[in-house]
Amino acid sequence: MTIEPGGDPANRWGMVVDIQKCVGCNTCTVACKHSNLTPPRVQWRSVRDFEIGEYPNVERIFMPVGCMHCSEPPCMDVCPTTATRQREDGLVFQRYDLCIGCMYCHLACPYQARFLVADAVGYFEGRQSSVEEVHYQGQRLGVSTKCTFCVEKVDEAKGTDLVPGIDGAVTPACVLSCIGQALHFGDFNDPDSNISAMERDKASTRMHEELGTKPNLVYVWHQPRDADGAPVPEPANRPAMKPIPAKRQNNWDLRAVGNFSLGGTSSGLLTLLGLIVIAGGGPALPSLEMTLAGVPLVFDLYHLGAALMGLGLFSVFLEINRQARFLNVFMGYRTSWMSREAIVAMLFMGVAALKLFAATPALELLTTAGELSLIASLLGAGFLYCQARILQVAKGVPAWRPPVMTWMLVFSGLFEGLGLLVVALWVGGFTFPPDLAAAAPVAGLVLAAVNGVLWLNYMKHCAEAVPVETMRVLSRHSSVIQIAGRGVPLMLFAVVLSLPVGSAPGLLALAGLVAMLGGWYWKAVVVWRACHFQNFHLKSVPLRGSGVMAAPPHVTH
Amino acid sequence: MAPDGDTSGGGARQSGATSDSNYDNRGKGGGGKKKVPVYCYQCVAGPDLLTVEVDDDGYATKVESNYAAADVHPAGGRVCVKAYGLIQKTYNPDRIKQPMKRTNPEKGQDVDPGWEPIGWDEALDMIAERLKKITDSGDLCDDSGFPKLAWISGGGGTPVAYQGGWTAFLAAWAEVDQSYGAGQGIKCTHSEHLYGELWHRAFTVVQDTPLTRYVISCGSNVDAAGGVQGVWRGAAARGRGMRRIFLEPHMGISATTSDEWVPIRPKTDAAFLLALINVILHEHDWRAVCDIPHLRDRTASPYLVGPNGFYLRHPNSEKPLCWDSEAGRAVEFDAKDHGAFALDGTFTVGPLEVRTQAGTVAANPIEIGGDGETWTYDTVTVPTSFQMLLDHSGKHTPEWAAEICDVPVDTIRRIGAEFLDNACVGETTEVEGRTMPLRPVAVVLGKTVNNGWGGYECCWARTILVTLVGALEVPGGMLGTAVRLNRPATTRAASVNRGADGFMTQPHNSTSKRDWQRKPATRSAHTTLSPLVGDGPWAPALGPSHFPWMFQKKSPDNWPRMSVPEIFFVFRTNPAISSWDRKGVTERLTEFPFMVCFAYTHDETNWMADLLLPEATDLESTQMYRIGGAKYQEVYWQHNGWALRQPAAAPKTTGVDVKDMTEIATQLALRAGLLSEYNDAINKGALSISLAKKTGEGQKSNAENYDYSLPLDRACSVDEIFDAVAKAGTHVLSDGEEVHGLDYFKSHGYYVQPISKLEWYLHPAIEDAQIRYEMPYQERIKRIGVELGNRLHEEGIEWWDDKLHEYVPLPDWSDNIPGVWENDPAEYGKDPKDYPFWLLTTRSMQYSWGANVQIPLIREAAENVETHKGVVINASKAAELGIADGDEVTVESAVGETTGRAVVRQGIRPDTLLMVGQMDHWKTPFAKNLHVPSLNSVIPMSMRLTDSTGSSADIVRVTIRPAK
Repeated sequence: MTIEPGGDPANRWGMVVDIQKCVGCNTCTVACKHSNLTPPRVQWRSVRDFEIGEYPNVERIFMPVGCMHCSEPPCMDVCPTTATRQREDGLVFQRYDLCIGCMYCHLACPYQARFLVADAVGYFEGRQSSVEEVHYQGQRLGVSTKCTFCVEKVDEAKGTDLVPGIDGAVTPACVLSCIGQALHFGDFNDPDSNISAMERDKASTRMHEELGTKPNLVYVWHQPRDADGAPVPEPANRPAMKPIPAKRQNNWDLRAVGNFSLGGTSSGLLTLLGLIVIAGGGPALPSLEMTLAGVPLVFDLYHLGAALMGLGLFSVFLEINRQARFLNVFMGYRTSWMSREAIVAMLFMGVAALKLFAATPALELLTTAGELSLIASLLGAGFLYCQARILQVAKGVPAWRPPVMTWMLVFSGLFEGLGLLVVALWVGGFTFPPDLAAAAPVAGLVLAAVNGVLWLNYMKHCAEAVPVETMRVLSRHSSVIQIAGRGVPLMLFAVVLSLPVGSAPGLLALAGLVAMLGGWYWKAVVVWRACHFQNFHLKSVPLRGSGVMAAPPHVTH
Repeated sequence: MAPDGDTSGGGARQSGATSDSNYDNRGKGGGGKKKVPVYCYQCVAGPDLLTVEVDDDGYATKVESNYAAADVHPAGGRVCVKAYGLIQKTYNPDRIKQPMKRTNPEKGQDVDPGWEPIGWDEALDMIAERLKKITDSGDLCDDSGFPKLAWISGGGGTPVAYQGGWTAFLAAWAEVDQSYGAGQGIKCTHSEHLYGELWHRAFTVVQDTPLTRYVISCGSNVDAAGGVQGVWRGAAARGRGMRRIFLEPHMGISATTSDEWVPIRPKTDAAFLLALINVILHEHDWRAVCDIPHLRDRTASPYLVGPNGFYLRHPNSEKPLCWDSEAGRAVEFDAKDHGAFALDGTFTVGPLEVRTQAGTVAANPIEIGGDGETWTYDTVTVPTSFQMLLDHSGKHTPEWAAEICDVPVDTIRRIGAEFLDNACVGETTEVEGRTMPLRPVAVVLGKTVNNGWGGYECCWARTILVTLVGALEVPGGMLGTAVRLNRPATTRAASVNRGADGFMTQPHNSTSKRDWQRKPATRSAHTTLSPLVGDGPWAPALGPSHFPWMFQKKSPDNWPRMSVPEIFFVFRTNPAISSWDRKGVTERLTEFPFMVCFAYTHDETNWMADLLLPEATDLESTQMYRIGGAKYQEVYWQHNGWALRQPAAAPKTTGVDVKDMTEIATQLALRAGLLSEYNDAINKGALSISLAKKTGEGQKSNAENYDYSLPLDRACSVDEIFDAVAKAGTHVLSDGEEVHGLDYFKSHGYYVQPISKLEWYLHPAIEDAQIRYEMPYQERIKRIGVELGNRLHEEGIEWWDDKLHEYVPLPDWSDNIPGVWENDPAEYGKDPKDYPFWLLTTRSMQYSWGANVQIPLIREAAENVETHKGVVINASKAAELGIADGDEVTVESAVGETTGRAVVRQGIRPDTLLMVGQMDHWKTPFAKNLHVPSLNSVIPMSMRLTDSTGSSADIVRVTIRPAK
């Protein structure tokens, strides 16, 4: 948590949206754009237009959405740079000067409230008008932006008797502009505030509360009552709100997949190397020595891992929008698995560098080659785990959220690492150490099975928890992932196992290659294709519409 | 009954947002951002008040509602989404930057006009030369009798709030044809304008939102088109539980926000409303549920109707007769002493006692028809008007209507019962000390329901419904907003005068043999063909305003040759897009010899112009305009006043060489030798207020005694002119106590004085003048129809005959109401069966009246409302046709086609398609690349589709298919 001093901890600013009053005019949308000078298509506040039910039983909803300034903001904890911060009064804000534009927060937000514009594109079919040029917000290019609750206005209330939400001068622009009296701002900590009273007196719901975000935006509507004042019950045959078509995230693409693939494979390899070292097989692992400027350097499989990991990290470096600031990625180590992954990677790179000098007497004074290998493997395992956590905590993408995601990435990394190991040995023309030659197909069989079972478990979970659009993609790729990615290597490992130990290194390498590619394949599918944003959804909505959706008879005033 | 939300309304306490200077004064007080107060009138529900933030360099950067006006403005000082487009409007790089003249005499969509930039002097001289040619000819009208100068502007009258001194220029010129339509008639609630004013001084009709409990709305899209007040008040009403039932073939904005959406078959609303009358009169005990005293004393229900369909009248006074059920005899409706009038029943009337100087004699009752035709009866058996209504409505059963409307029988019955439950017949409430009936129910109508064939039936039926329970013009009930046909237009009550029959008088165009205007005075022939529209300033454009275009192509039989005006001015309108049959109108636009377009960007209309004049736009120009009162949609202020629109953006920031409309008008008046007439027109009130009044000598300071008039012989500056308007306006409002000039408005933005809330309701004026609402029987309309028919036939005109059938006293359902559209393809040699869909359009908060399709910010907001994206089609129907959301589709009618993307939705009938707004641009920058289809591209303009009021409806039969 990056809690920033600022604001009065006694306050908890929030909004109440009366969706029965909203007419979808989007005055709030454009008032926000005026106040905050946001570029084309960036709508910190917007109103979405949804339908529930099927003709002739239909309800239509205009739903204002935006940053919910969650009390438990998932975007903040994932931020690798601490650019996303929360004040003591709950406001969640973005430090543009720290942000590297990695867009992790976009994927962590279940409310699609984050925006990033990479290039200065104007409103007039790309051209900027003169006033756009004069007032362009260059500091926001390439960084993540979101609703600020017009904090600069809210803060002007300090030391005055002005009340945010009541007095226009200290009320967010969208709320103030609303022509339907649908948007309200105030303090949820004050039970007598305007918004607390509205939440109490009306029917209400908060979006995606089950994700633990504690959103500070509440949807309310008039509660119809009968002549005795009792709430009119919802008709039993009323269809619930169907999921709204979800759009695929386009923040992370193949460049991110590159890191998950190369980083997962390399750290899987490093972890396995650690197990081999522990099992006493370290000395049997191949290495190459060469002399550079008189200094003897040792290259071994750790350096292969380092190279691949570095390549993966470079791949994801290409994904971020503010590359010059990439060093900020380490700042979020307290909460962000991305920071941790980067830190562990740097530490590993350091150890791997030291290992180059394994043949130098000076190093031997410090440590043994075996100790260094173990440290490197430990860091590799750490990298694997950190990376495996990255997707699972991104609450904005339902397909990434299942807890099994972490273990899928860990075991896939190990499987890919095994694959890399046997491929590297075969390609390098090294003789397989006999123990490894015996253990590898067994490990391959086990890891193929474990990965297969995890995938089944994942798919079962997804069937209930992800948007249909995601499920469609997953279903399309699932058999390829399972058959080609697990089944084929499983069979090949089994064939190798049935042959005399070490007699089929080529076949073993083939099994490893397929395992590795299979791991990359499913990651590409899940990170890049089956990755639709959490869709907007309310558990209950006003009773209105046609047919069975129509409001039941109630007392009018 | 305090509407909830009024106290918590999104930051209710205002922040004192106005500053005390505009950009001209900037820097004098140390710089910093300034807020310039102006008004927005981009829709008919304005003007609303806003401030524009201006930075140190003079750039206008930000629009905000003028929250300082929250206390006096009926929507808490708010402006809607359209106002926020004004910054981009000002700095649009696609603006026309200086006057331009055409160098290629050939005109057409695909013809390059060869625009050549010229200076303002050259441009103004070009026009002045043409103007002088007309004045030198000694006749402002041509051989056909039509004015040689024509002026067209769109947007439901909103351009007046931007044309500044032009109103005075047109007044100074005297003979101007303003009857060219840009879509009005078909795009407005035309029938309501005419019949609403006749029955209750209601140019438009709304519910008394703050008090109403139950509203039946046949497509009145108030949450998109009712302005900020409509949205603000409606939201508050929903917050307290107001129930609204919305009948519409698609689930538009206001259907969405209603308690219930009833997907009714297009153009069958009249049958539904007639069935509700049936439910009340024949399925409930009308004596128990209706407002009997109201029907008896405040309507024509007891009037006796003769065998020929005209009121039975007293032979001497010619006053309609009623049946005194206690005395058992017929008496004049306003007889001094009489027992209770019979509401229902049939009575035999014999000779009446007539007191003369010679004593009491017997005289036979008479009936007077069209052109004075009179029938005299010894004894005659006649029903009351109400009895005729009872008889008339018997056949309109819910079962009958359900078949026509596709609305379940139970739904019709339930809505009828709910309407009665909420009518609160017998209850009263107090408004500013006056006790009035409380009847919190209303029936409101949207466009397409409310214009063209079927409009009369709907307007009549809904007015009957509220009349039955006494909900007309009382708190909670159904109200008018403004008068536009009657005069004076100051308040609705001001034109309430009692006529001979006990109803309000109404300024019809005469249909008498002596006074009927045989030769049309305008190209829309409003005084000739449309008696109900009158001849006020708004009338020409409310006549059949498509006739100028239609007849320009081919005049009908026995009609003057349709000449084109020698000079055609176009301001803030784009009929090549906004008119029905826009393609035909585009062709006509190439035929004008000299067309001057005030031009913001190039567009589809000004592409045919000879001269483009870029006028100073919203944030660059000056005008004083009236605010407050009650008018148009849901505009109900409790104040009257004036507001200023003034330059906010510094000229150096915009990069365009534009001129203020008032400056252009003054310059043209000067150059055309009309300066003194022009100044005189301003002095006499062309800019909404007389600059001088002299009544009561010796009284120095009262509302009727002042003089701020302009000198006649000098070209005054824009500021001078509006300084005088400001002073006269505040003088009259404050009774001379607070006279403010332009400087006050430049810093404060507006000035208001309170008015009585009683002005919202017509009922006090009706009651005080002992007037009866002209309900249920329409004798006057029947008479007008007979006489108009006689006149036209005398001239050999038979092409108007089908319209004459609409002049009936008790409107009835006709299969022709939807049938005229269903069968229309046959007129073009096509098979109606090949066009199985109804295509409709609907208004949009983001676009309607705004002339803002060029503004990307508005498009960005509009696209958040899914239905803006293309042609909306029912999901099951789309699946049946193999059309997916976003697919390219072609919609084709018997006369054309339009292409765009399919928007697949649940909230629309399977037999209906919808296109929001008016698009299909091919020249307007930005808009031309949106690729959004338009109904105007496929709807035919024809005499057959024109009703008796001179309007048609925004509806056409089409087919849809995936685009090739």
